[in-house]
Amino acid sequence: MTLFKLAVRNILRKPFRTSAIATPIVLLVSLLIFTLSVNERIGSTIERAVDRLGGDVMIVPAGALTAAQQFLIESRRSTFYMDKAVLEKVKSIKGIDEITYHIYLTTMPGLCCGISEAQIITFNPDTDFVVSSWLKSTKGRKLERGEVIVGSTAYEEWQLLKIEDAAKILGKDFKIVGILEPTGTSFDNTVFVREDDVMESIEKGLPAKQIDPNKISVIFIKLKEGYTPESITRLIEQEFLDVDAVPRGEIGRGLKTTLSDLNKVFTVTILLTTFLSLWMVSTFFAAIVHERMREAGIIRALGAKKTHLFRLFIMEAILVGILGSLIGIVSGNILNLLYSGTLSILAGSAINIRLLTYFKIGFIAFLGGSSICMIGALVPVIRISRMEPYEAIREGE
Amino acid sequence: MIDVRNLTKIYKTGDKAIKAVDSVSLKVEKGEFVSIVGHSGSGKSTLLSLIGGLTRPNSGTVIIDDIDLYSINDDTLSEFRNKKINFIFQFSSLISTLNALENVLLPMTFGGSKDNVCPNAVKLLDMVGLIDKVDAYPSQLSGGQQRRVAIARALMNDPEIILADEPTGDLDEETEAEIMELFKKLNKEKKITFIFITHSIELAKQTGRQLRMSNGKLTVLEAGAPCAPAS
Repeated sequence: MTLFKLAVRNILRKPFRTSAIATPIVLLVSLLIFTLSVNERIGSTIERAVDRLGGDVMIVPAGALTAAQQFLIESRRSTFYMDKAVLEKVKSIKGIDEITYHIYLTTMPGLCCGISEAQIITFNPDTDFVVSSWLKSTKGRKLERGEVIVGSTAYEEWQLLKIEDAAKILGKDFKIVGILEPTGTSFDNTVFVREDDVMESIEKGLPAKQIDPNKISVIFIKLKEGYTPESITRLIEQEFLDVDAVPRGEIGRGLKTTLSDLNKVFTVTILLTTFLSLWMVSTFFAAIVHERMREAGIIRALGAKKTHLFRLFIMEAILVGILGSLIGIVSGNILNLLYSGTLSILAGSAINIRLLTYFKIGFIAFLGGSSICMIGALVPVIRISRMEPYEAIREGE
Repeated sequence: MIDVRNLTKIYKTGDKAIKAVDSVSLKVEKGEFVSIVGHSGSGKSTLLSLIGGLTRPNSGTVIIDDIDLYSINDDTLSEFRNKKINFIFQFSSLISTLNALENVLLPMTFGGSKDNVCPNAVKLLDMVGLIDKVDAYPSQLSGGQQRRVAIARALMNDPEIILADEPTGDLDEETEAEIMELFKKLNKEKKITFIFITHSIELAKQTGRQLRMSNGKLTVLEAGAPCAPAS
């Protein structure tokens, strides 16, 4: 019989006692998993969207900033246009290293029943540094005429098509040459087409008639060293009244503000829950230790040292903490699955957290739950392990 | 040999100080079977716990085999208890989450030889007549059976001394007699020193020496005679 086995037996043979201590830990860990996951999902969605853009400043038609950000961050399909002439004007601003543009075409209807629409985006492969860099990293080359890259969600929904298959887009056959890795952003449900292919469709009178060749949707700018996105943004907004500009760090600001407010609420909730859990564990342990006073005295009478008793009770606390934390991780994830889908703030954000991040969140929650259980047990356990055996027996009678 | 000298234990409750054990001196030879009788609150249990190193006295010494129990540190005292002394209590002293066999094995968790412990524990349970209750939990055992398991546990580390605090207290006469016989047998065959606390003068008479505890003082029990000092 080892101390560990004794601790395990004490936990298993007293399920009510064990569940009474484990419950606050389960609640705390569930809350930690849920809040950290929601926070991570929103945060990473914004981050990934901004990373994907690759530019320092984004320019959209005046009044379309919200729609553009909703498209980028929240996957809400949208179309908005400004004159292509703006591009030339912006080029003249000092400090611009690279400039490119995208045209957000009307959405492409799903191929069949139950298949959602996808957004078509055209880009100029000669100037592009957003899409081309993804293709270069995966294919090692630029997108050629008659080729398309497809977002992961859009590709999944075209169930019948495979890479190298032809897809009819805007009345023209295109070869699918690449699938973008999932980002959790609108780009997952997007088909990227070369601008010259689209223009050809327009010239041929294919179904892209509604596209005006003199319009573009969004301009991305990369700056030279020594220029800050904020100063260039200010300059653009001062000089061009018909556009809105947003520096890289400000993209998704609305959502970031909401996330920050949400985090404050989460922090207060977690702090209160932690305090409550600590108090509950401590109270339960004090009661349990009191109930087991005689048992502790007997164990000491049988030759257990103070450290044996301390280790036994702390081991029990840690094991219950681990048990509560594991159940909490499972219930937190179930809560996530069931409830986070109903939060509009998460609609369209990345469903899957990166595995490493997921483990990190799980580890933090696990550590938090186990530590709270151990800390809560500490005072009553120290008290009982310091008592004289006879004193413990008498108090337990 | 157990040598108790001028042992005093005072409990303080508020402003009041109660002398539970008052300058008690006692010598018990190896293999002796000593009983202590006395009313509730006379200080018997406190004296037994002082002899067993379960609580520190206010003054006096307890020397067992030339070791002064209260001059050694708590860890050494615990080791000493584990190896030399064992206790049988009046109440059910079994751990409710462990079965009979595991309860008997419990002292080995805190020290002692780890060889052959399980067969030895089974043998002890057989000796106390509970071989068929090896897997039974305390809640599945009667009061007498629980006490027998406690006796088997007390023998697990081959102790030289057993301190029994009213071990037959709430048992029926038949079980009481059986347990008493077991104690006598252990005392005779294994030469275990017994200090046995009881309310019953009849039971005390079955032991080698009878002492009386009254108001914290220990005296020799002599039927119909005034009390004389214990040692």
